Amino acid sequence: MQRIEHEPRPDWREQCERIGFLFHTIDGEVYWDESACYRFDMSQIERLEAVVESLHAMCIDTVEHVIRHRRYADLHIPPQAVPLIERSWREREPSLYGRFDLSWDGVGEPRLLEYNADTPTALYEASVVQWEWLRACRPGHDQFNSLHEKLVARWQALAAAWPSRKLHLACMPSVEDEGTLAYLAETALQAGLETYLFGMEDIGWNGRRFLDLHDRPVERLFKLYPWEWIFEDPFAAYLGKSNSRFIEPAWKMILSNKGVLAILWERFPGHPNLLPCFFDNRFGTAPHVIKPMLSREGANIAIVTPDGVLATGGAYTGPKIYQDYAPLPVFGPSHTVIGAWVVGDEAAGMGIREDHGPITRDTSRFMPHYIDLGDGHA
Amino acid sequence: MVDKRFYKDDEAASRRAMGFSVLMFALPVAIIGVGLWLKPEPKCYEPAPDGGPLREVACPSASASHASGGTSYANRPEDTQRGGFGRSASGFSGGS
Repeated sequence: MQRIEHEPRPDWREQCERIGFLFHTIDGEVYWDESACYRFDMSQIERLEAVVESLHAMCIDTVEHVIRHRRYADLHIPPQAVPLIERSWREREPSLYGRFDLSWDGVGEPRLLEYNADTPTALYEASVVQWEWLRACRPGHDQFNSLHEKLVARWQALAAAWPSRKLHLACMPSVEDEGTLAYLAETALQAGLETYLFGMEDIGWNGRRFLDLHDRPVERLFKLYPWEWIFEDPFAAYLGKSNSRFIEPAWKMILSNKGVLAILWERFPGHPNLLPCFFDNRFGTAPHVIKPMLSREGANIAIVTPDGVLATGGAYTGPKIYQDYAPLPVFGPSHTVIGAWVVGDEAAGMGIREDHGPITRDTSRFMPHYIDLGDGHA
Repeated sequence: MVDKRFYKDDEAASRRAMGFSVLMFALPVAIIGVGLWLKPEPKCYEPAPDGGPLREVACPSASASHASGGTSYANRPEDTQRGGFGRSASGFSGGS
């Protein structure tokens, strides 16, 4: 794994916009950054692929454990969410995708920092934008990226069990979330589904079922909106009465909660791809990280070291977990995190984010990567 | 030789390329269209003179419309509530 500086394409903005990638720049700062890229060899990618599928298997096993032993209180999951979680697990409601955030320098063991299991983004750039970059800038090489094909195949597999081919997709107003939603709709369309996009706030309830703005029943809803927010919303009271099914399913509430990191460590102590993690502080003054169980985009994180505390702000309060500090590898000027994707039960690709600081945030830059296939390729 | 392990076959390549071309047009339209595509035409209702079911009538003016999306839901025969999801976002998007 190497960071290689690379002259950006002179027209990179136009190339991004040509394929509909409109949030390459966020708040005036570059988000899609091709001034450098990461080089891997195939053995590293195979290692990563195996680790992702192993982590995924441990996570599924842990969902079963949490439900069987009713450990909802440990995760501060509200009681009203439990019936839906249990129903979704009992009925084997399928997952579409998730993203593991890993600390890894290409040597040694990748370590799981957290699992974005419910509402992961940075998908379009990982699936399509960096593939276009590869074709333009590293032709003949490969990329850890079968996201597009696997998403299309996953929709096809999901829809095979549905009574109709209708899929609603909803999110909140945000250029990034809307872009992610539109891309997912595109993959569903290619899988032969009928897709309807709308806003979470526009979902209607008529006393019997959830409806879209044309009063069509919402049978299957992909929602880019966290389950913990859903259960704070007034319409949560109707979830049990409705026949709607959700993607991601409610059992993903267990995995998107950072408390699961403590349960994973409890169940698989010493696992080389996990970090020691607890519901209380067992690190004393040794370096550790404090994270809210429910938070996103690097908000409200505190890194505690003998040198002091480095903390980010944010609106996420509530119960916390305490995780061993695994500093992100530093390549040149940047701290680097790997976002490794799983689609269904399979590893499906990777996106790399960089930040000048040790905490990855929503503004951290997305960097492309390639797999070096050796001699004969530029 | 190009290792196509992660880029399975020519058929997949062709599907992806088709996706790009569709996306060129579909994605910006979709982004603009989220929240707009499914906005229905405003519908308004009034009681029938004989006390029968509500009947649909032309909406009198824009000022009669509901604040969200210019649609009046107040008098719909089927009392559909809206806005019950999304309140917890507090200005944040839901992605992570």
